[in-house]
Amino acid sequence: MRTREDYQEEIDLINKTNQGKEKKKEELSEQHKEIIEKIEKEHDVELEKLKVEKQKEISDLVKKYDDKPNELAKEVARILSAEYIRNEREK
Amino acid sequence: MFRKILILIISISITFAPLTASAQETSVLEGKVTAIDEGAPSPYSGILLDSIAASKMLVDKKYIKLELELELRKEFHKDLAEKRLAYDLLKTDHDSLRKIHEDTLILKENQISYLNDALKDEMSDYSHWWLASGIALGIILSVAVFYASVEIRE
Repeated sequence: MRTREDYQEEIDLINKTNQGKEKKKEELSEQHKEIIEKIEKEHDVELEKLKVEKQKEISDLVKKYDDKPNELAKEVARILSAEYIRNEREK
Repeated sequence: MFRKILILIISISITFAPLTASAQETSVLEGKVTAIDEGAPSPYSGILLDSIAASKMLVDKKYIKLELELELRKEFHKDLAEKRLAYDLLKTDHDSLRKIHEDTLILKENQISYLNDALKDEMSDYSHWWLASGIALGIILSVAVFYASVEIRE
């Protein structure tokens, strides 16, 4: 005959295992939250770096073509695949 | 006293000067775009870009790819993390169920061996036969004694 203690032992075992499972799940959720925050942070840093690089490149281009607007216009025409028309000064 | 005030003013100027300069640089890099009407001294009617706006146009084309790549990479890593979490949660469930199953099996096996031992003890116990034999023997002896005493009296 099974005794009450046997049943209790089985119930305790299931409860203990379930508690362990819930604890592990909470830890996993915390880890996941940290990973997502890290990804967002890294993305923001990279984006900021890119913005700085972009601004620098714009400044460099502005300086480079400061006294050569025709060259800049040619470059714009090239990236737009548009025809470049020479202006009066060039003619 | 005058020197201290002068040093203070110079320090403040040095501290805030770069901020003002960078703010100016940013506003300068805004760029200008306007329309040109036909008849104006230009080869055709269209849009006039200053050098900053044109440079931005050139640079944007290059950087849009990098920005998209960054965004895609972020989404990929987030998605990967979500999938990993889902997998880990399922694995936790699975491990927990397996542990319950294994421990329950051990408990059941213990219970079975306990019941087997109890059954063996029950089968090797002849006390009830001893009791029945004793009662039967007692009855037979009583009847024999009674019969013998009656015979002797007669």
